[in-house]
Amino acid sequence: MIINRPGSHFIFILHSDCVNRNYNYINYNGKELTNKEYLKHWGKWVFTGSKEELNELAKRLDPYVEKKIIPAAKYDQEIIPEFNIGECVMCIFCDVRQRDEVWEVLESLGVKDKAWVYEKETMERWLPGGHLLETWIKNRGFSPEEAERVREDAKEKFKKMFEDDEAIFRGIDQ
Amino acid sequence: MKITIRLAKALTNFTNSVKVIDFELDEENDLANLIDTLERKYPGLKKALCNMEFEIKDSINIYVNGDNVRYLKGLKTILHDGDQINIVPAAVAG
Repeated sequence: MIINRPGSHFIFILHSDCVNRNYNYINYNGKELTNKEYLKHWGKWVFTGSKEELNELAKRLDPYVEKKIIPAAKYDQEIIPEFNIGECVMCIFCDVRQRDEVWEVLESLGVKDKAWVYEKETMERWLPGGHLLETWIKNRGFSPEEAERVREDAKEKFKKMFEDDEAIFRGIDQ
Repeated sequence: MKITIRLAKALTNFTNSVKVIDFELDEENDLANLIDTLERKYPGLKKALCNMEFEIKDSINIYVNGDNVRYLKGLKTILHDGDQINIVPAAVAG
């Protein structure tokens, strides 16, 4: 199911049960991942394209998400100018233990750029001192006080999310 | 051996907009050698990818067959025939 929520920067491709029946796509073989497992195993294939290319690909990916072959995907509605990528980014989420199977689907749909990213890596880059958070702060032109507040908020948010290793991971609001 | 390099659009200003480069390299070459070889063909690319100490910049991710070389052997990662190298701004991984 392709979900384009008003006000969201991202377009999501989620199983319809995620919307209607609270299905948690962050699982492996049907077992939801704990925070600890999420940081160890969960990640994504990432690649870029024009908005039009990604819109077309999303339509072709949707049936694989409905069949639960691909857990979920998201992509940029618009290019994020702060990061100077020049294209929209698509992320295809899955557990590393199923990434080869997911890659085969992507390859069959014509995806050529192959880059695997663990979620842990992404999170570290959004923590104070991390490349993404610091680039974002710099390009938004925050005052030193505002920048410090953003860093503190990021640190607190991640600390709170992962304080219990054994709790089921429930996702990040985006 | 034949190596395929795929560059993100943001990096193609160093390669005359060429996104996919097929390269012939001698056996047992590592990523550092590949970057040096690329630099001879596309001047400025090495500086865009690496800092003065010849380490991969924080702002760049390099993948060999889908795996980030930071978790392999960095620039000392040995390349093999048929490998695909993807070079992207690190922000893509966000």
